[in-house]
Amino acid sequence: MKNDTDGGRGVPEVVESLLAGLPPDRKNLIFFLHEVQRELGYFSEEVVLQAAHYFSVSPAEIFGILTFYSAFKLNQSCVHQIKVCQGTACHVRGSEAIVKEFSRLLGLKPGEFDSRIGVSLEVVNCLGCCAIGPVVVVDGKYYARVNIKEVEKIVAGLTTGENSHESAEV
Amino acid sequence: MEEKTVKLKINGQLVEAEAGVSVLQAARQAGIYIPSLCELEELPATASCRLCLVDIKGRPSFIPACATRAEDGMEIVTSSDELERLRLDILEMILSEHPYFCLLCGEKATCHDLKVTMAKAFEPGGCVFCPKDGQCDLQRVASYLNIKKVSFKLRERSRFQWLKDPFISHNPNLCILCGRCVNVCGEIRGENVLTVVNRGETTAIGTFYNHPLKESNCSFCGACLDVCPTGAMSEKGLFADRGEKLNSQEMICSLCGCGCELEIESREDGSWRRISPSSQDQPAFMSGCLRGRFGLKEILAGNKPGESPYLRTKDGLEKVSLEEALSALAARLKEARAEETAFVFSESAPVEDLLAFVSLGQDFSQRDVFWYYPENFLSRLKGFEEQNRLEFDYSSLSSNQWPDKGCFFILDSDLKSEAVTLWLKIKKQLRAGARLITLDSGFNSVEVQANLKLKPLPGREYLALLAIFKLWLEKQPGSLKFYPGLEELAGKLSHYQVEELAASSGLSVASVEAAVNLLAGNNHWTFILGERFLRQASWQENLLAVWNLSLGLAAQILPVSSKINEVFLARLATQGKIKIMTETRNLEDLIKGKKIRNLYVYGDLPLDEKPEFLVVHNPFFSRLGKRSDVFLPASFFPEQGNHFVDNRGRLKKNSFCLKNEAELTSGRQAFNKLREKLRMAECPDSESVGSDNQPEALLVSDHMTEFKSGLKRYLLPEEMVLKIQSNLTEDRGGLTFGEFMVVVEQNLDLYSGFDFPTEVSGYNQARNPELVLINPEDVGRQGLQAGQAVKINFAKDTLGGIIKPDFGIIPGVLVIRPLITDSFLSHIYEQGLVRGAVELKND
Repeated sequence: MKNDTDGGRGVPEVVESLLAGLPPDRKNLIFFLHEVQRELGYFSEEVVLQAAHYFSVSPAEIFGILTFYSAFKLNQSCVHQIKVCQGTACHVRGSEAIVKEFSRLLGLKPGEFDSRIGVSLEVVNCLGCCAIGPVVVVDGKYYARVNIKEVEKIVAGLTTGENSHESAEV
Repeated sequence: MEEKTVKLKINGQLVEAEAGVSVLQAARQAGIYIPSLCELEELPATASCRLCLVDIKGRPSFIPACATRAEDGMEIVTSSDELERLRLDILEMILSEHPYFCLLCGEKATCHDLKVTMAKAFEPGGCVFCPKDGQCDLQRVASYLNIKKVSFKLRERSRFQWLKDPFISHNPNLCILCGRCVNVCGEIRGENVLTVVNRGETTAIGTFYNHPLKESNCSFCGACLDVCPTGAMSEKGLFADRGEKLNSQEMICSLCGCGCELEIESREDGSWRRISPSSQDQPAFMSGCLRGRFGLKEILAGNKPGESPYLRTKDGLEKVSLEEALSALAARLKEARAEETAFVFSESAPVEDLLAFVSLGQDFSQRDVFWYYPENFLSRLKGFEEQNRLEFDYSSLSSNQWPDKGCFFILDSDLKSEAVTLWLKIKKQLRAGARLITLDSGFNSVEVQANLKLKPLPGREYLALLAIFKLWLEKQPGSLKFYPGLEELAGKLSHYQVEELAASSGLSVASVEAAVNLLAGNNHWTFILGERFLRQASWQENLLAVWNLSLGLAAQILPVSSKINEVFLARLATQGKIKIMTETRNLEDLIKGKKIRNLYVYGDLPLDEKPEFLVVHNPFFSRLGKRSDVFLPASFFPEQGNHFVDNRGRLKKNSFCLKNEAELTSGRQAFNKLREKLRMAECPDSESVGSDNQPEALLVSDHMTEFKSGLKRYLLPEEMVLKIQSNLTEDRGGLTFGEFMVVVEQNLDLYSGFDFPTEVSGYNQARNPELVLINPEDVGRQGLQAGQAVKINFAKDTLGGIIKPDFGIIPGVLVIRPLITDSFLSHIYEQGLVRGAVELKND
């Protein structure tokens, strides 16, 4: 996730460069939305309106898509994204306790974000790597076989701004 | 068309059904009931409620009947112990989130008096105030399934109601997420305002970023109210009609050219309960709009029409009796010189009354009666035909059938506001796979549904069409030879490159190519012309370009008029029976020069200058009426049985008759009384005009109804070649900073001087005539903000407005939709396209 003032480019320019070369075909919409999420980190109304016009899709429909998939964010201020897998495999290996621990340490309920420290916590369904569960993803990095003690480390790494951690080989 | 049917067995009964219908429809047609909450005829099936599960022999599991096509030889069981148990389970789950005390409460019998359920139902007011109690699909299904208990604990969703919008309110706590409203909004009406947001237990009906409807480009057509199975979507302020005696009457709405049939529900005391589109021939959500549904109700409830006559004395306007007003008017007219007296009318009165007015005016002044017709649309078409000795094929108009197959090319027409019923028909065909191209330099709310949207520069529409034609000619030279003139046309066009034409029209070559591919790859095209296409300086070029393209494609041309009676009056005008007044400037000059001293206005007129003696004859005591010397109240369309001609040229009889206390006569009665007083012979055919046959005869007599094979040849006159030349060389960057091309679009919210946005509370929020649509890029460039008040400076005048960014507007263009209330607005409206500069309003 990059900052939204990417190299001095404004949001409309970023969106335009993402749209450039992408045929205005409905089937490209989700791909484009992922690109926006990666580049800008969230969806402002203007971005959605611009995309809706380009793809000839109603803005409301895109909003429906954005709120359906947890991969898309509507809030600007989460610098760190923590995702805890609650798929069946992770769940049976105790991921619920891990979510609770994150909640306790961050003072956040799943699905909430804290604009002060810029952290969002969410529970997601299967991430497709059940063999290494319970899985936690922090800002795109995967943590394998996470236990409760490690949660504290992960959180500490966030607040000090260091992102030093043993990343699992996925 | 071959009529294919399928034969299947439902519950052992042999059923024959049309091929393509669903199992649920086949059962319904055979009189077999299958409970369902999400399915509705005409709506695409979503199979979201799961209540219509049936057992089909040979299928491994139960299948929703609404989303399963009926096939030959199917054997279906719609009801068995297992199915009913399953349905009960499903209903229990639905009810675990919907307050169900209206179904299972032991105190229900007394609660209307004692209000005991108010706290119990979690809902403020409980089932007592549920807008659908007693008319609720959920209650119907529950009683069919004979539900006795709900095994799940009621989950209180505690969501906020939508209360910020006029006319429509939504209570998400009553919503069962069937998806009907989302479906009707997107698939039927093409609005796409409502959507399903979130997922899992937080799923809800929402809008773009959950803004109120009024900020979500909702047109307030009210279709969501017609489909909601529960009280979740409801008309604001409307409660269930428990056991009330209601009168229901049908009426033709004449607020626009569609002439929708409306159903008026009134209570025993005569008050208005509800107006909704009629559901006799088709589901209610297939027609109607904000004006007829909510606006009209307000007019009727406020008893706006039926004002008293007024007479100007030295103390101002005073209420008088009709007799007094008519006597004063007759006295004045007796002394008036015929050549100093003008008669002007607008289109909104019943056909009979208009004809009576025309003959009164002609008999009195011995000169032409004027029709104020700022669109000048159908008569321009007619004039063009005569000038070029060609004839458009209006067969679809005259056969009273809209095109029912094929593809559509919409030119400069926001159909959703100009002819909503046609739009709904086209939308239906788009669902069945038809193609749509839009070409619009202004705002077009249907272009989001198009396979291809073309946005040319305003006034350069014809260049875009020529570019398309030229490229098409290059791609398939063989198929066009059918009509003469092609060589000559190709020769004239050979001086220009497609790239050149496209660039100067403001289109990219890629979009021209896309248009050509779509046109060539599909058959049965219909070109739909909006009045804006002909309300600009280059209207003749536009028409020629469409003509050539339509010849090559063997396509139909369908002009769409937006006002009631327009088709009929345009015919009268082309027969020379009335004269057309496109703007009020010339009339004002005549008044200033004392050439016109007396003016009789039937209907409304945007006039600044007041003649010495002004008579206004109008249902509403309008702006003009307040400045008149004599005001006569005309009858309003729901007030008497009368005729109107809709935009397809069909004569519609309005048999509805509103009770009216006021001393009110129809226009023709008033005109006859006046004739009596003026010692003129009674209007020769005043009675026969009123009879059913006469207007029909008038309609049929005109040749517009029958297509004679006119001259069919490709055309490109010299003047047009010169114009292309000058447009190609002209510098398009001629706009200075802050300057825009202003497209003046039509606004039908002014009916006979009745101004909906001002007079109907809440209307202004749904549709604000002050909005200035502008490309977001321009908003930033000019340092503007959404919602900001601005002035648009024209050559001589200024106009206030409120900035609304919209990606559908191309940079350098402003789109305004003012109500035409004065002569300056009438002037710029007639121009269609003017230059203007935007400036912040400093208040």
